[in-house]
Amino acid sequence: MIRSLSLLSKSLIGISASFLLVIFIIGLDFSLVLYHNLTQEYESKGLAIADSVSETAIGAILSDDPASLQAMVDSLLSINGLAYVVIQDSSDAILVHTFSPNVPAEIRPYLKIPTQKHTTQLDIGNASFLHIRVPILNGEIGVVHIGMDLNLIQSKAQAIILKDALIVLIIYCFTIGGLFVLIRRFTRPIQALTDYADHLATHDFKDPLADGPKIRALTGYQQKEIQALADGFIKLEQDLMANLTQLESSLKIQERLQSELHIASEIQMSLLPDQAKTEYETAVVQQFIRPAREVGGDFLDHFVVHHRYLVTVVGDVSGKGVSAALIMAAVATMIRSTAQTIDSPGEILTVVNQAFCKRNVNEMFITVFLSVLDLHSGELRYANAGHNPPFRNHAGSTWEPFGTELDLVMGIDEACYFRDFDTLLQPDESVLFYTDGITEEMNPAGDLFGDQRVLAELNKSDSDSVIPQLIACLDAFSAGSDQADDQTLLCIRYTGAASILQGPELTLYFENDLSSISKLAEVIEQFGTANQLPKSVAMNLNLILEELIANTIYYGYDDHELHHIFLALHLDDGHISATITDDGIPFNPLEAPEVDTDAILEDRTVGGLGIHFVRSLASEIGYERQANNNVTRVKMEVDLNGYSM
Amino acid sequence: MDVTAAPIKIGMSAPLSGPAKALGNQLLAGSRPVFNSTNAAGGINGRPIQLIVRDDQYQPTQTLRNTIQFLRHDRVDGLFSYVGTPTVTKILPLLRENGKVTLYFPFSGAQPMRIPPYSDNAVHFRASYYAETAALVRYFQSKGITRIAVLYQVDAYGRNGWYGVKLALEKSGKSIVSEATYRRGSTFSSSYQPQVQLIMAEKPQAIICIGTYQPAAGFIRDLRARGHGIPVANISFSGAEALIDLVASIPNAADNLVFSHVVPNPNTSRAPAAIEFRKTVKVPTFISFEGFLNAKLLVEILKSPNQSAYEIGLAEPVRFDGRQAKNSVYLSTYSHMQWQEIGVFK
Repeated sequence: MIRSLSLLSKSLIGISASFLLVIFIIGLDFSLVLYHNLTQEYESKGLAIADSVSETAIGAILSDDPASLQAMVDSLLSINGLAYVVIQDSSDAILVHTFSPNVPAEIRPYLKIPTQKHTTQLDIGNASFLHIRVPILNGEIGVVHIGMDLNLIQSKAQAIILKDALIVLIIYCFTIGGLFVLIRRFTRPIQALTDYADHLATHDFKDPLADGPKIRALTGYQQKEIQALADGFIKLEQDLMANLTQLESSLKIQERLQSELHIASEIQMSLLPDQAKTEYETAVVQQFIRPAREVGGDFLDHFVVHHRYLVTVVGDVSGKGVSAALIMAAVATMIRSTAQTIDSPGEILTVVNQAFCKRNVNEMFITVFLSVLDLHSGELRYANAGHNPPFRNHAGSTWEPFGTELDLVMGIDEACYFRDFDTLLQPDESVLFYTDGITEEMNPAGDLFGDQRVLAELNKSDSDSVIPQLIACLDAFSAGSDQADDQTLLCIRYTGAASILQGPELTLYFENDLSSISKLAEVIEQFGTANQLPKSVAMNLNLILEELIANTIYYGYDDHELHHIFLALHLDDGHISATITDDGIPFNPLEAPEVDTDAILEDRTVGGLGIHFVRSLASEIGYERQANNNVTRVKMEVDLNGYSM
Repeated sequence: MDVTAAPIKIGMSAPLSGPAKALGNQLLAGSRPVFNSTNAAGGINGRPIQLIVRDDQYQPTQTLRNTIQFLRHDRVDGLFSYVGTPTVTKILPLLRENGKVTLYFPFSGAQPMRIPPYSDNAVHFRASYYAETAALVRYFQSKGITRIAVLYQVDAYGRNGWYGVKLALEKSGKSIVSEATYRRGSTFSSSYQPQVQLIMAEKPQAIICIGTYQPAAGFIRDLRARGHGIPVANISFSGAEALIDLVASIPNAADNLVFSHVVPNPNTSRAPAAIEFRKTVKVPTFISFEGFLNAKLLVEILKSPNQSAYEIGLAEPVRFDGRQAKNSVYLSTYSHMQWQEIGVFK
């Protein structure tokens, strides 16, 4: 409470308290002295009265005239403070008194004739009296008692003290008023400086402070301390302004760098696949990448070459940040382009390593795990350039490491040869690739997350949510510590060959572009494999459909827009029905001219056999125009014993 | 007759207002007609009597101031019928210092003005309080009453009466059984319960009251209210009629009262002065009768000073023993609204 008061209030309270204490002590002392002195005065006055009464009473007593005595005594009662008089004769009998209705009982014990003057304090009722006894003629004639009213001097003393207290209070008020004015004069500059400091704290320093001139004026103040303080504040403002300007410009530079880094990070990420989950023909790829900084050295990639081979790359460039990111971008690009022409993962790495080593002036190195999955067969070929071995599992079994045979990391030996390894993935089998940012992540206690924790977590996970669960576990483990290294996870789940084509029904579509037809052969092959059709049947089916769809693409459209041609296959008991539906102009393929497919697709070895050939292979063929669509139906007999019509 | 001759100035200081105003007014009512008729009859040897009256409210200091006025300013030839003991006691030294002016017939029976050193400065017609209290004590003792209490005004008057009772009782070896005081200036409306309690604590058979009519009446009221029917005696100074007027309406209060007087009962006396008095004043009272007699005696003295006896129409001529007229005390009782004379005590 006191602490929150201003200096002014504290000073005033302090001064008031000490002042009042002094006044109280002085007042107490003064009143005691006053009372003592007044009592002494009173006593001597009382004694004088009693003496004179004792002298003048002699005559009246001797002349046996109490009335004169009473008259004399009564006249004395006009003396201020004289409360009562009692005169006794020599036989102790009361001769005169001034009491009404009678002499109070309190006095009775004192009605003895003393031989000497005697003073005592006597309380009668609520009043206090100084009771003075003076013997008349040494007690031979009688005794005079008088009572001096002590309440009178008490009230007199009180009145004096009250008056003095009032005077003191007035002096006090004037003093405090003066002090208030004086202290305010001293504290006003301090208050101004305090305000200035407050403003300083919240100021943006674009402009000088508004109360600057006021403080500058204080530097010429009479008080040296305040002068020095004001000087200090002015200096503080100037220094702050200079420092803040410097800080601002360096902040701007940093901001620019930061935004450039941000752009770099976006570019880096755009080089890599950005879907958490990508579905390929017979495989599902899930990925996770989290750089430790704005840009990182980890990378991953996956893409399909030749419509059949899923290439997956997980790598880690030594170091982090921009330099690692640049190397990563270059290497990732090299791998992607090399993989287009070279099938062998080991060879890809060998080629890329040679190229990289030639330009690796910074002597950085890279670990890479490169795998190539044959989407049709589940065959997985891979090469490991010093990377952490991945984990694999088959559905229902536990995860285990594999591919533990490492070759040298890239960037060290230009002549290094990377070996190919081979394994076969069973349907529903998964492989998890990762970088050491996962296994070497530390918790605040300094423990590594480690392979065992990864394995344990993997074994608890659903095959569909391996990555999210592992990341959740990792984040819980490392909560409270900063991420030390880039973290990358990539999981392939091989769903199994022909998984999407299995079953007696198949629906697919083609665009109105002859290149689109290339996939027809593969689809039909797989459909045949999945439904255990004889190879000759699948081949004939392919020939028929190729002819019909090519005709539609070639003749069916009079615009250059994108159109879709839908093919539905239906395997029935002993029959295959194919229905081709397109939104082209009315066109009956049965009436189409011969198509020279060789002129359009170079790599085509079959086709262009003509509609007559189609008719000969199909057991039924029909066309109709339905709701602005051309619908062509073909039906083939199937001999499941390997013989087709 | 030469009525233009220098008047004989007579000063009178008396309570004409305040709690004892009845005393002053009644004295004046009785005496003024005498001076008027004397002046009408040619005055004293051709000089008229000029009565100068000043009100002192029964306050001694005011009496002193009045007297100084009379002596210095009015240059009076005599002072007449001052009322009260403390008032007269207060001015006695002044008279003694003056030495020329005599106070005639103060309305007080107190001792200081009857004994040295002031006995030369006053002439007294009325009997002293000692005489009155002694008569009352003798009366009560004749009735077999020995336990006597005193209520008195705590001043020179009361003290004088109290001492008179004390002395009278001491003659027969008795003393005052209980006593109480009240302050001068107390009125009828004041409470006198403390005094009643103090006095009745000793179970007295009679009470002698040395007071004025207002507090005396108040005391009697409170005494009777507590069921005490014992006789209460009042001396002449109390103002009997005024007292009875105050208590008359209170049940039982105006019974068993005893009064001592220094003049005969003005209503019943067959003395020539009483007969003349009853013709002169409308409401005859003991005090106004005293004023009447005082004035008659003063006129006689002024006419022919230094006589051994003066005839003013009482049963006997007034004779002086020194400066005190040899006079009687007249006792009477008042009960059931009736005055009854007890007798004359010499």
